Amino acid sequence: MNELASPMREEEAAVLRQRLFDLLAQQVRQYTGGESTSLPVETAQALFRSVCFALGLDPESPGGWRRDLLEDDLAERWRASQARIQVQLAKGQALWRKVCAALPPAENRAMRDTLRSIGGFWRRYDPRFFAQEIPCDIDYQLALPVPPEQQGVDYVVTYLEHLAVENRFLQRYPRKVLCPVWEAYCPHYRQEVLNLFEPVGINALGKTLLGQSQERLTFSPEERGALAQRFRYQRREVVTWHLERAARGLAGGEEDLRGYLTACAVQLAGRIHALGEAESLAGVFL
Amino acid sequence: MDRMEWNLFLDCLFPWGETMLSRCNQRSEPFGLALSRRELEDLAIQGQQALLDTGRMEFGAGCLEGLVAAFCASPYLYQADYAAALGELQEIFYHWKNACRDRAGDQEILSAMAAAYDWIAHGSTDYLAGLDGEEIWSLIQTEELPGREEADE
Repeated sequence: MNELASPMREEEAAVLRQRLFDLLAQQVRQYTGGESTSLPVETAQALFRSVCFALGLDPESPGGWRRDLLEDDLAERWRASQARIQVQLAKGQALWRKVCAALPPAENRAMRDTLRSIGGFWRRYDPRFFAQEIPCDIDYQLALPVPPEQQGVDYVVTYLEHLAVENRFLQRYPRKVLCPVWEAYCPHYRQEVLNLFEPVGINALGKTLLGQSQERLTFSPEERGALAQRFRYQRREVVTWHLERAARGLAGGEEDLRGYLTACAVQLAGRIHALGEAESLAGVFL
Repeated sequence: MDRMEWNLFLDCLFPWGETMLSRCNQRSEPFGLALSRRELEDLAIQGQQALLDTGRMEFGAGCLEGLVAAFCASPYLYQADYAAALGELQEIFYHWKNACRDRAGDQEILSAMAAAYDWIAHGSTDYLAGLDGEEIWSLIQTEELPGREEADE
């Protein structure tokens, strides 16, 4: 293993902890304007997590801190991270405006409220002292959640990227094709906290597997039976292969959509396999 | 990080030595007050305990030097109980910081505490410790209590 990339020994971690403390003490002075030298523990811990987020450290796993950090000027590294965060903020705001301008054909209250709340994030977010925080309410769940280790503006940007992919896919279809799927999924889809992309994506994958057009995305019992027959007695790897191939076909030339649909296909294969030899896929293909 | 790791992380707290002792005593000796080395060490331990008790972290040298500067001229402090009073005042200081939700800086709090100690509490640290958040904030802002009687002599 590269020496600099290897984990630290305990005495080296102690040196880094002291340097982190010095950086944290600077942050505290900035935060209090030099007026106070003490803080509530919770505030100090939040400031520390912000420093760690900026430096790319996991504060809960000092055993994983890499030796190359000992070579770095931590204050300079922190300043560089602030510049990176500003770039992310600009990217995020532009992306948010695009997502707001390209909503799916039917309104969902959770999506609307989430986007409105993210609009306030750009004002409330404090990259200097609380860079790891996400001061907004994100109720609308994605088909592919943002990795939980992401924090701060990174989390929000990834969330918006995923949402943009989902909504762009939904915009391929007119309302008259989408609404029957959503109504079969949940009659109150406009008010409920649910993901609009997932039932449509799953049904579109199923139609692709059957070689059928996408003009009607809902399934008849016979069509579901045909799919169940195809999956019966198949190993999970085979089911996954078929669904991934369908995902690539469905995505066409859109690389980000291909990645998204492929990941959904893998999840779907797991659900189908878990059903075992069930006769019906009524709960999967609507 | 849990609290224990925090304690390890910040084990450089209160590195009080001869410099701190000298500075404090230089300030207080004109008023007949002085700390011994042993008393300073005890106050360092009490200061750390005060932080634990009030749920705070200290990133400077603590509040002792500020307390000495603010209180050494008080007519209610005597050498016999000087160190003990400072120990109690450390805890009260951090309690007041919490009570006003960090809206006031250290110097504002020290000034308000010293004024209240002399003019309202008449040297009673128990009185200062018993004030609630609204009263503390009122003292910090106006040097007056919101419609409360002074402590009995």
